[in-house]
Amino acid sequence: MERSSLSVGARGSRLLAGALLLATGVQVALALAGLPGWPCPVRQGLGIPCPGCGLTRGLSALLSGDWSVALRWHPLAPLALVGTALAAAAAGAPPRLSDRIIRGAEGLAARKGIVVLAVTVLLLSWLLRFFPYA
Amino acid sequence: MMGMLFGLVSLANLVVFVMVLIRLFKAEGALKGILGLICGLYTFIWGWINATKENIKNLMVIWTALILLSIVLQVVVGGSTMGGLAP
Repeated sequence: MERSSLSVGARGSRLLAGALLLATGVQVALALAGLPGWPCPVRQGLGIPCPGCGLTRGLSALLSGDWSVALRWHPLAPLALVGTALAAAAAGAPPRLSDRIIRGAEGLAARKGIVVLAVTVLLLSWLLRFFPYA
Repeated sequence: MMGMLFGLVSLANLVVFVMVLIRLFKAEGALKGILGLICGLYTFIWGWINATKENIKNLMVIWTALILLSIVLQVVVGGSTMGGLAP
């Protein structure tokens, strides 16, 4: 049986959540300023966008209140916003609350149906990028 | 010349990313692995947090150097690619 995929110990999870939150903040700020950010290894190495390409711009558009642009950049941008909010809560909340949030996220991730759905949507949205819109 | 160097650095960046991603899959399972595939930044952060535990410190140093070099070359070559962004 696969070990708990989101648990690296409470402290490790908070550290990871905090680091991710900081990195996301910097990446979004760079995108808003029109500056180059994290170089996607897949896009740079192969010349094709990875399944996550567009999330930063999508997140930036969401924070600016532009939902239609956000969804055009990446259909899972709203999910990325939820993930960022959870990371913020996990990193900044008191230890007990933080642990509850992390355990809640683990519980959700353990539900196979949700994982399959998320992966399917992700792959479909990625494949659709290769077909130009009319 | 610079363009070729940028290409080589990009390929090396991809190879190292895949190496760390495989470690992530093995250590943390499919879900975190998929998250790492979607977001290379997550893989990078995970790699550094677990560098000692997974014995990949040297690999992470190399990857960090490649990323910094890639950003510098991007500016020098005047590449239009924004990291992590779809066209």
